[in-house]
Amino acid sequence: MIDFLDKLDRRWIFLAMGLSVLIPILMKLQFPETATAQSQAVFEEIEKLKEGDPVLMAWDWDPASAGELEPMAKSFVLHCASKKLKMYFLAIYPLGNQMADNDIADVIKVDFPDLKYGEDYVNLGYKPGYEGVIKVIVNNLRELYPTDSRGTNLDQIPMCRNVNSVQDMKLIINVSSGYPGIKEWVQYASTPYKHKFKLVGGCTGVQASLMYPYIPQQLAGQLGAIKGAAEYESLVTEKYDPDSKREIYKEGRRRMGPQLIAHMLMIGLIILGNIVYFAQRSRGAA
Amino acid sequence: MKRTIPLMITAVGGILLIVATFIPATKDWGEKATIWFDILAGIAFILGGVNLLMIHLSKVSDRKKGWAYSLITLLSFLTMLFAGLFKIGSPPAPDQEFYGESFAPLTISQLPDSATFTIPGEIPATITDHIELPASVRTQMTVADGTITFRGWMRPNQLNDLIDFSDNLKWRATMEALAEKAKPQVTLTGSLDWYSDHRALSYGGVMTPEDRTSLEQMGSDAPWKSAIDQLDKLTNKKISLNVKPEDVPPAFINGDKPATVAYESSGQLTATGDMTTGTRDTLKSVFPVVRPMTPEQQQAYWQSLVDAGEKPLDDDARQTFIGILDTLWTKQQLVDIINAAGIAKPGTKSWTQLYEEQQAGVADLNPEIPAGESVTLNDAQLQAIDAYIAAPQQRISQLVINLKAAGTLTGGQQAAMTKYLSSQPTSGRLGRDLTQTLMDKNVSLDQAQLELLLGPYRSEMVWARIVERLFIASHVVKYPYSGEYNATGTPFWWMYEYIMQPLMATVFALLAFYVASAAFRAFRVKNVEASLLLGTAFIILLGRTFAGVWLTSWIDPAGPFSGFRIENMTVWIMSVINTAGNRAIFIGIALGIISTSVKVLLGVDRSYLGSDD
Repeated sequence: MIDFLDKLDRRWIFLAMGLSVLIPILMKLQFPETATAQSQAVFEEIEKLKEGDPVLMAWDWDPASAGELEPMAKSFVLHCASKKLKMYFLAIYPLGNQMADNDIADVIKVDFPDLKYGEDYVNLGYKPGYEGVIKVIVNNLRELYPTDSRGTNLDQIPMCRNVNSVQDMKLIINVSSGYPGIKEWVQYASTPYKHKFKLVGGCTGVQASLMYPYIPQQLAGQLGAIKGAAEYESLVTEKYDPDSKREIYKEGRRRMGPQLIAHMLMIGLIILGNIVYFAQRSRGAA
Repeated sequence: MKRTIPLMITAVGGILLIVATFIPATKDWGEKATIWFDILAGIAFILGGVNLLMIHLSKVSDRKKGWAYSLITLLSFLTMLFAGLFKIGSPPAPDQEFYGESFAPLTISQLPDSATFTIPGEIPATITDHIELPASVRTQMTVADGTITFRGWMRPNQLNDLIDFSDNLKWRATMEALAEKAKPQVTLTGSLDWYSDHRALSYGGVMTPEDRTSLEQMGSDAPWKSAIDQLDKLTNKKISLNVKPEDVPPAFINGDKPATVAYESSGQLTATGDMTTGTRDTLKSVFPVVRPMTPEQQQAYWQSLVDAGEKPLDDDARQTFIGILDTLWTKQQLVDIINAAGIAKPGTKSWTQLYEEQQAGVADLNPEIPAGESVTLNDAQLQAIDAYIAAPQQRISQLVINLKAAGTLTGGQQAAMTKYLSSQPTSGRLGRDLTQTLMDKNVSLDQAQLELLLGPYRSEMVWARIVERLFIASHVVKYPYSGEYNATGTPFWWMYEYIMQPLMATVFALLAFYVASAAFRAFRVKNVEASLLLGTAFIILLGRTFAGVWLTSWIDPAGPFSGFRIENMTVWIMSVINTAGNRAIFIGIALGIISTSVKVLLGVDRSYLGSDD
């Protein structure tokens, strides 16, 4: 048995991982989520805002991270749209612009048809330059964003007329999948201007542990991967969309089912691997 | 020299950014340097594209191993570049097309003198010299020698921008007076405009011979006359569609038609000039809204559905059906909405009135005008509403005429009533909603019943498509490349949505399989450090799922041992141990960056130039 496990073809492990993700999805396995302090902090920070307050939605992620970040991005938009905040989308990640467009189409246009482009939300689009973009727009938005992503002059967009820099925002919400992302927003926006606005965000599991040193002074709260997304999603839907039939607002919690089984499989594999290791070591010693 | 210039750029750029960070007076320098960095980063994308082409072209031409993959990369790159750059299949941007208006090129200098308006006035002293006039009027307005000059005709948004420019009451009153002057003559108001951003004279609707004469009298220069000629042709251009007579709703044939759309019994639907979105919407909404139903009418409608089919329908289906009909609008709702809109509200004085009051010595300026008398519907008007409910084919416009004939109807009341009634379902939409609800309740309807419910909706949709086709055909595209490169339905969007997005997500998802395999093969408890790592990994893996909560749910969350609940241990590990470790690493990295930066800025470390130094 030990020899069998030692020489186990890795394709069996791939199959087990595939099934551990597939079966919970097919069975629609879901578990209750209790919000942790971080998710609660993110929720509260948005809750503090008043109707019409400007919020910068920095969408720095791409389809590769959609598994972890898409549900939280949609929940952020749902939360802000429900509170009638002015949403300014932008991206310093090449495909962030498309992700913002997707969320606008899936959430705002479907569930908030009364919100008008240019008056309630605007997509400023993507700009290359990594953290350089943040450094400029915190002082002067128009230097790099003279137009929105459709090419309309900011002066012709009602909600942009009185916005000169990121400092005019009440809050920055960043969804980040890597570099440039949440760390850069902390270093170049919220740290030098922490008295002007707050920063909250959501990021991939890999980034989440790196962001803890910035909490809470430079980063008011963060959602770590799909777990954070599921918790935050529960908070938002409980308050603003309790009877929703739309699956997109349950996606974070739905993805926690596969995560649980996959994590259990990982723990099982690690234990099994160590049993093989100790068995062979004792056999070698004998 | 080849090395000196990059070294100099690095040193100057780096030192500038350091100086700008620590000396507030030099903040602008740092901003400018960062903008240059952003421009270079943009150029780097172009260089990256060229590099990708060179590498893969050479690989394909040399038939190196894996050249087929290079070929796929090249083809994908070029296809997306081509589709995105040339906006293949991208419709023009709706906000740049000015539907219903025709454009003729005309620069500001070619506007006739009669389109120049002056008024005495100056920019308020509180506005500093370096502040420019609002962007929307910058090219049309000049202020010099105590005179304000405006070329063209002022639009409401321009007036609002000018009012917002300064809170000085005299300035605001002056701008209001200027806006009053800077209007086309009455017969052309609402039709004639000039757009500075587009350098174009615009005309909305159809230009009549009288309008043309009025325009010709405004100026005699050749460019002006040429622009009028072009607009005359464009606004009188006729576009016809052949439509099946059975697709044209009787409500359109027998009702009031927009002046710019005509229908001939031979089956030709003709639009004159560029159709406005308002005309399009009016055409689409020719179908009358369903009137409130009495219980007898509801029963009759239900019976017609039962009789149309061969299958019996149970009482639950009837309850559902009648329940939907009960949600139709009522006479009382309509009356309440009209009366609510008739409640008088306080008005607002104009800036000119306020300025005059200020000049007259009024100390406390009150911008509010007291509310007048409220208007409610009288008995004759209520009877007009009854008549509207009793006549299913009567149009909303006819109801407005009848209400005005029977008593007072304010503009606000008319708008509120029209908005309310327009949002009510037509027989087609009601049939669709009934079908949807019955199907949601698993009520089985046969073909004849579906036809009864959905037939009117199909007719409405066919007509809506005809109107949309006519709307597009009548429009002269002004900016064909103004649309978004990734608009829904374009080839670029399709490739992104159905190729790039799934591929990226798939490649990233492979990580889970390799992590699982690596955990089984390599995560061994060989020493104390590995044991600590393993224990931490287990806690985090469990704590990030419901399993962690469930396993230690027996520990009282408010008790002294609540810290041993797995979800709390996870938080503690992340916020204490992880944070401490990360901070130490960050400080180390920061020190490393400082030392490396100093070496780079001073030219000691030149490795980034590809040097071996």
